[in-house]
Amino acid sequence: MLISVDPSSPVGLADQVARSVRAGIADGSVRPGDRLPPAREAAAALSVGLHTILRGYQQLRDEGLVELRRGRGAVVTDAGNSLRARTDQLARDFTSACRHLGLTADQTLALVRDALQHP
Amino acid sequence: MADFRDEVGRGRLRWLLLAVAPLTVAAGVPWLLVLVCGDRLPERAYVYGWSRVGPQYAHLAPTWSSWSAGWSYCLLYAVLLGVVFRRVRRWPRLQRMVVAGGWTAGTVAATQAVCGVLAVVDVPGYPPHPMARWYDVVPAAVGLVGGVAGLLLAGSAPASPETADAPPAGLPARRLGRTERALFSEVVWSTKARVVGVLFLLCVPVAMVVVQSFTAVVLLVVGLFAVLQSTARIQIDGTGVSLTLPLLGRARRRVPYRHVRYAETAERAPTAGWGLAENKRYWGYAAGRGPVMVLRLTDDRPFVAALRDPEAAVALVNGHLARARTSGTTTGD
Repeated sequence: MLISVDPSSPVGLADQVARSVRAGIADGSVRPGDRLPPAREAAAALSVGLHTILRGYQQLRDEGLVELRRGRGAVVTDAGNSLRARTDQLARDFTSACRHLGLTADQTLALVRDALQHP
Repeated sequence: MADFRDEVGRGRLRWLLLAVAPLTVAAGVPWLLVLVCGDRLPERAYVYGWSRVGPQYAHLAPTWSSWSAGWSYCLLYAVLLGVVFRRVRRWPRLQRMVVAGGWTAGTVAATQAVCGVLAVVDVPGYPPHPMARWYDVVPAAVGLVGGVAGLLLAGSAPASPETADAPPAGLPARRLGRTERALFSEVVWSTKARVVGVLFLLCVPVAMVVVQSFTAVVLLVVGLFAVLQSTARIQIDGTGVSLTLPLLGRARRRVPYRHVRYAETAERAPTAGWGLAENKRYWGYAAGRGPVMVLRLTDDRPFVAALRDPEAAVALVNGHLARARTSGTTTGD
């Protein structure tokens, strides 16, 4: 599980923490049952406040992606599977729509790249 | 690329003597005990084994001189330890562990001999049955203290060389922003370690009834250790890579980036293993399956960690190294 934050980014640090975990769940590198790093150690390793990490974890809990248990830390729930499935489905819907429009693979990728660069 | 050889480090002869001395001394302890307590001992060495099962087997007990001579196997172990010490000459940390092993084995053997003799001093004829429980517990406890004493006497191992070279081109490396901070964390476990540990623990009650309690204590310690080290957490951050055993009081070993040349992935660990690994080929944590992250270190003995996602871990390590060693951004190590 990879968590990355950049203080120079306009996005809040807690949001960046939540975003990193969410991305891991979406790309399949984080699976249901996986344990998030202990908040105190994550805060020390990333040089951010403990409450920043906890706020990020709480966001994920509010989305149902993580369960916070006393003594066991933060554990990814089964909802992670549906997030992964939803992401897969969105990608499939988009690519099939592009195929229907007659776009090539390169053109489809260029569209995605452009959308990523100009959100 | 620097090839680290540390074969003639200062103090190694002292370490070698420290490693073999306890077992050598232990071989002489029984002779000394018989010499000192000779008049107060029974006719034969009713110390352990068949001779203590019951008076009907008393005739199987050896004489005191043949019992003392039997401890000569300690000399053989001392020689073997010397050979092992020589074989791991390139890695001071392993040599230090050999010293600790020598002290553990030597103190256990010597204490067993002392306890065996003390149990029958001033006992006329065949001693009461069974032997006192402390006979089994005391050598194990003294052995533990002996191992720690060996580590303290050896002192700390010389530090590994440091490097500031950027990782070779072509390796996977995550492009880290100038101010970006990244943390990789993964909990790994070894099913084999867990199964072996549970099997050992299941054998404990059987050993207590059938064999002897010393064997049961050994099985208990080994089984508990195997179970407790079956889970580990690998963490990579801006300062280095750390291996933590959460069930063993958060015991931790760190690899600072200054000792890392670069990271790469491999299909499996160099040799089969489960749980904590410490041998000539590598050290780290092996799960007995799947791909691993290999950290090429400056002392030529790689750190290996079994991970579900070694590519991401390797890319992050190389990314940290590349950023620190090409742009001069601090890694905190």
